[in-house]
Amino acid sequence: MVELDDELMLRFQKGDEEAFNLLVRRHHKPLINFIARFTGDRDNAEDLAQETFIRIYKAVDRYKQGRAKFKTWMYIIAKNLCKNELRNRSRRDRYRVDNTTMNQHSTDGDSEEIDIIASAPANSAYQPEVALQRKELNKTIQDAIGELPEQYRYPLILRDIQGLSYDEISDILELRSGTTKSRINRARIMLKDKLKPYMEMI
Amino acid sequence: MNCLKAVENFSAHFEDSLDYQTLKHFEDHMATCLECQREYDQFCLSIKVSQELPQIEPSPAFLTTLEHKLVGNERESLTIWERISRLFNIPLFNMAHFNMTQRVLTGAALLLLVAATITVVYRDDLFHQETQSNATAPVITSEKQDINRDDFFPIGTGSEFSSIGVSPLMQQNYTLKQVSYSAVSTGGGL
Repeated sequence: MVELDDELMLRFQKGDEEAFNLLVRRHHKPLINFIARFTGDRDNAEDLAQETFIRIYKAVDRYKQGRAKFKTWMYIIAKNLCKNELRNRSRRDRYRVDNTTMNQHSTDGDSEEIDIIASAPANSAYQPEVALQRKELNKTIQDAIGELPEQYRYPLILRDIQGLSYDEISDILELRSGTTKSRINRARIMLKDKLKPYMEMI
Repeated sequence: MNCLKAVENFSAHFEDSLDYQTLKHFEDHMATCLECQREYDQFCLSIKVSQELPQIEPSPAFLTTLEHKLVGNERESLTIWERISRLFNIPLFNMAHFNMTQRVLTGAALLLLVAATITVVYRDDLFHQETQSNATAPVITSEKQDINRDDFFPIGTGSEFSSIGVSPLMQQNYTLKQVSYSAVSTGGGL
């Protein structure tokens, strides 16, 4: 029988380190996926996911059963880390004046995007042309999501990519249910508008 | 239903969560509006492709690196307030979880609390001032008495001593001596 996250957290609060390992193994993939889709940076996503788990580890005694689900708590920490990361990144970019470095950075960004796609399983697309098309399409979608304003990007990723419920998203983003629903609808419309030129490709 | 309203309901229709009445209006509108039909098809397609984005696989070293990073870290202990709140099952004060009404009410309650505290402290301060002024009252009274005595006994009754820091008790003794002296002298001579 699969133990609930709450039960594992209770075990970990009592000092069972194995319970924490189980939680990490259960949640690390969706967490990395969320952070990578949000920041568009796979390598950094792993660092941020590790930082999230470290914070959970340190603050385990603050976790109280019934007040928030473990998953919600984890995403709130990750969201705040992502926010800080994006803020720091924009600050770094602002002070980076060397053109060469800028070019290098943008190239790195591209390679990271490609890394994200390259890391994805090949699915049934064994034919090289189909696989390439799929990669390009994924990159286009990732770019379109990355262009959405933060307040719309979070709910869209949490809903359509992570598959969370509206209640969970409301808890994570600290929004009312109605606001969450309207933001998700608005985010989807914005994404549709951004993907319009590529609709034939889809 | 107009086009704007229809667009607002795209997600709800996609997730099959429209109530019967709204669903009927939505479908009536979609049946007649080609533009909305096309937009809705694209809307559904864009959701579908974003849902099909592949999950990003972590590097094989992820868990090992995390274990290494965790080595130097220790669990943080709870603060006293957190322990108390847990013991009595009081929810921690977190405005982020409050809606606007709760925030306003909490803010008002806090203001009242601050105002009440200030009032109590201020009143306490006033009380102290009153006590101190009561303690100095005998000096004022004795001065008044001196003034009165000056009226009755114009010869060196000691009111001049208050300006050079002589205590009321000394003044009183001095006055008494003066009284006895004047009584003797006037009784004998006149």
